[in-house]
Amino acid sequence: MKFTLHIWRQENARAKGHFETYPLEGISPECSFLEMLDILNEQLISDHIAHPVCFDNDCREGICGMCGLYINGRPHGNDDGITTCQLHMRKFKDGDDIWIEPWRAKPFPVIRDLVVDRSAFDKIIQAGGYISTTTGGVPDANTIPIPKHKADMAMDAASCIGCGACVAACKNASAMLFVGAKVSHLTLLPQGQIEAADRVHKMVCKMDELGFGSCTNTYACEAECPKLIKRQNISRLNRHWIGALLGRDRK
Amino acid sequence: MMNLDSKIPAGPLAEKWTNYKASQKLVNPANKRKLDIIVVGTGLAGASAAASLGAMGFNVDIFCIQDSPRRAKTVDHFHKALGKIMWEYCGMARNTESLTKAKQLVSELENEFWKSVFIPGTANEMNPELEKAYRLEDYFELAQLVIDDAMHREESCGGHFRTEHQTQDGETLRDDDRFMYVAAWEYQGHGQPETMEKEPLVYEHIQIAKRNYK
Ligand code: SF4
Ligand code: FES
Repeated sequence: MKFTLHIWRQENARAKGHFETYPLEGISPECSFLEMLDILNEQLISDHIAHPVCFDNDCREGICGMCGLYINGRPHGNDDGITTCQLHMRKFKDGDDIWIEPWRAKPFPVIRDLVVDRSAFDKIIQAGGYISTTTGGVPDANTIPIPKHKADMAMDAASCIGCGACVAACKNASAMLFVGAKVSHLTLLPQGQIEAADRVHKMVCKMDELGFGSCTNTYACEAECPKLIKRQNISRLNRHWIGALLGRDRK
Repeated sequence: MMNLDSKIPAGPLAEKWTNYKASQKLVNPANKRKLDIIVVGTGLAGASAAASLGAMGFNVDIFCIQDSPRRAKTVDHFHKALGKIMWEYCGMARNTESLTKAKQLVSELENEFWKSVFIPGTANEMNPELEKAYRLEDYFELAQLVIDDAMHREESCGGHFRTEHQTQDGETLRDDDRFMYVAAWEYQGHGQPETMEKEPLVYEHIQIAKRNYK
């Protein structure tokens, strides 16, 4: 297959970026999107055309959340429930123009080309996305009874991979879906309830402090989330947040 | 006093070259096209000689080798080549011959890597190619150690199938008398062979058995 790629090039966080156009031929439809970029880079380097295009990736199987790219105006490309690394070139038409951009959100500054700094998410997790407990041996399964539907909801929320597509998709660069997923997955389980109010307070404050925007209920996040995290996690976050503000057991 | 004379032909600028070609003394202009000139050469010198003689009216045959622009060898190129060597010669079934070959190929490839790998950019910027090269440097060392270890273990055990050591119907043949240990290799500096420490496998509660994969 043959494509015309328009790729965002930006040398570093302070430099001015621009689109650069690269024609690419002979791509197999079975090729993944990242493999296609590998092939482009191999050509850019070996023919001394340009510095290779920097893009983040790690697992290449949809579990690490590193590979987010804005492809033809959609985070993770034009398909639902997948990450960029799970997108295949057969999803495009031969001869297509493909526009590739980094996440664009103030709390995610560009490091180079398509790579952004997502450590703002780590800071939110560090603020409260954990359970303080003494670890010991692994307890036997089912020693703490958890209703099946709660376990399922917690599991669904826990499948958030922290990719940042929700922030990139949101016109306000809001991180509510991400924080909602993290708060839900811990708070739905009995082990996480002890610190629930404190946790939600710390995480929401950190999120605001880092410059993420407010939620205006557009749900672009839900539409673009590769892990299909549901908007109900945002409602749950709001409920817990109001509860925490009312001063229930907050230290 | 020295006079600078660049022998610029007379006449108006637009006609200088034509005049010069016609009046040049060496060969009669009418005879030039009867003379075959063969230019043998490479690169720019050959090309410019051929071009100017041709423009003067000689019948020029050229035998010039113009190099195609040189393709640089990327880190990935070496990484894939290393993987291929390990897969072919230190793969699931290996023997002394294939391992000897692997060892030689890896060391040749490593030399080639140090000589001709191309890494764009510098160390003072985000540079994934440089990161990959650092990792590949380790992989070269690791590959050689894996080969050494496989060479040393003269038995077939688990994923290490030495074709010299198999039963008549192709099952693995372990040698518990000589190899009931884990080999831990200690680094001795770059290019030095690692030294081996044996960690004996002592089973107190289980019976050592042989697995049959059929
Ligand atoms: S909620 Fe979805 S889009 Fe947002 S970080 Fe998690 S997985 Fe990515
Ligand atoms: S590279 Fe890990 S999710 Fe895409």
